Parts: sequence; C-alpha cells; structure tokens
Amino acid sequence: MRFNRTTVSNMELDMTPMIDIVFLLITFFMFVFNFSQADQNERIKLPSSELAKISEVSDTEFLTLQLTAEETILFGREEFAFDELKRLLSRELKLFEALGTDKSKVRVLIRADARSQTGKLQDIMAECRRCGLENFGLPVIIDTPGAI
Amino acid sequence: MMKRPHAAVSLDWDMTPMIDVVFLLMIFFVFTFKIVKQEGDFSIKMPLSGGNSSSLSLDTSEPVRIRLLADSNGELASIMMGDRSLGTSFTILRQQVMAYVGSLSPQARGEAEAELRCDYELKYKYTVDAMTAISGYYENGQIVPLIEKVKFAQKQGQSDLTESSNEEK
Repeated sequence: MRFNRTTVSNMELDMTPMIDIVFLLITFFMFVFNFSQADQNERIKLPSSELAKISEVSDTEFLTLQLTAEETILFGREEFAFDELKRLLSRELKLFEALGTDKSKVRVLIRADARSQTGKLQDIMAECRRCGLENFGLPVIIDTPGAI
Repeated sequence: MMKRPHAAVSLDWDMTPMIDVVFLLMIFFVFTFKIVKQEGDFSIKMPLSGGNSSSLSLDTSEPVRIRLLADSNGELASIMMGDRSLGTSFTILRQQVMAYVGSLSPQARGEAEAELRCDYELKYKYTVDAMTAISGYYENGQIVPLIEKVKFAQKQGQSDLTESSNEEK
C-alpha cells in the first residue's frame, strides 16, 4: 500500500512551467503570424530597393494586381491572361461603385516580378488609367544597407 | 477546517484537454511561420489627361528625361539622361541626378520631376534600380531625397486611346 502511493504522487508532475513556456511560444508565433499579407504570392520575386517607403496606412482602397514572370496577372487566387485585365478591372470597379468608393481614391498596387517586362507593367497601368484609376504603387522589398 | 480541503479539491481540475488544444495551436503557428521581408512601395501618380491641365501649367520646369534601353534579352543596354549616354551604371546616373538637383534653386528642388522612358522588353528590376537612383540615396543611415516625383513616359497616342475608349462607353 505504501509503495503504491509514493509512485502515484511521483507521476503527478508539476506542469506549470511547461504550460508557461508553451503559452509564450504561442504568443510569439501569433505575433509574427502574417494575417494582412495573404494576397502575396510566393511565385513573385519582387525587386529590391533601399529607398522604398513603407506605405502609410490610410483610408484609401487598394487593388492588388500581381504580374508574374510568365506575363500573367494574378488577382487574389485567380490567374488571368493579360487580355482579361479589362474585364477584371470593370468587375472590380463595379464592386467599388457599389460600395460607394470614389475610384480616383483607389490605389492600384502592382506587384511585378523582377524578371517581368517593364512594358507589360506599363500596359497594366495604361489599362487602369483607361478605367479611371490614377494612383499606383509599386511594391518592392526594402533592403536597408545598414541592416544585417 | 472542513472547508479548506474541499476548496483544494475543486481547484484541482483536469488540464489535459487544455494542453491538447494549446499544443495544436502551437503546431499550427509553427507550421505557418514564415519570415516575410518588409515591403515598401514607390508611389506613382499618373493623373488622367482631363481636368488636370491647370496643375500641369503650374509646372514650369521640364521633367528630366531618362531613357533606359534594353538589349534583346531584356538586360540593360544603356542609360540616357537627356541626350547623353551614361553607360549602364546607376551610380553615374545618381551622380548626374545629384548634379542636376544641386543646380536647382531650393524652391525648385521639391518640384523637380523625372520622366522614365523604358524599352518594352526591359526587365522590371532595372526600372526599379533606376527609380531608386533617381529618388535619392543613403548617407549615414539617412535618406537624402533627390527627385521624388517619378513618372513613366506615356506612349505615343495614349491620350487618344483614352479619349476613344471614353467615347465607346
């Protein structure tokens, strides 16, 4: 009887430190988890620049188009050929209109692959301008020269 | 005396389900963990031709015209600023832009504008390099701005296209 009891009390180990550490780990991973950048596609290798500014968060609406090295356009999870851009833009602009957003305030972010043709990018911009969109942002990766 | 042991018993609850869930959460976050490099962007405003003539007429200074020529593979063949060829070095382009900005009056500096004209096939990374060279440089950890307004040259007849598409509607 006595022997039995001591083994039972040995089995009940204190789990508090382990739970503390596990919670700390969860908190860390939750903070580094990227919720906002869900529409960034891994296929696209952005060029890098040391001078790009982190875009200030404003109340303007965004429209993210991604230009792949194969000259197709990614929008959300859909992939389009360049010819379909017009249809896509008119569809999106209808949505913005329905929401009552002024389309001159809509900012078009064009995430273009470093290997894609500049002309293609300008074609996208021209198409957007034809639809009345005039604010563009060209996202690039910031590589600060001083950073490790 | 009777209450104490009773309270101790009720506090001693089973932690197994909580630990299960917590471990599942941790595994989820560990697997979705990905180091994302910080992104910034170059802002480009390309006002539509209509209704903006007044602001255009205010710009008395001509934009600096920079031309990027590509070879057949889309690699950079040469940079031209105005009519001068600068080779393929963005450092020289930056020095030229610095010289140009230095020659301006302090008032005109903020208003200076550059116009990029790139070959169709040119790889996008060279365009970004050129924009970087034009817009400023790093010195002692500080960004020194040069020309902040960079725009793309429009193709010949693009304004006509805009008008024609409006008419169609």
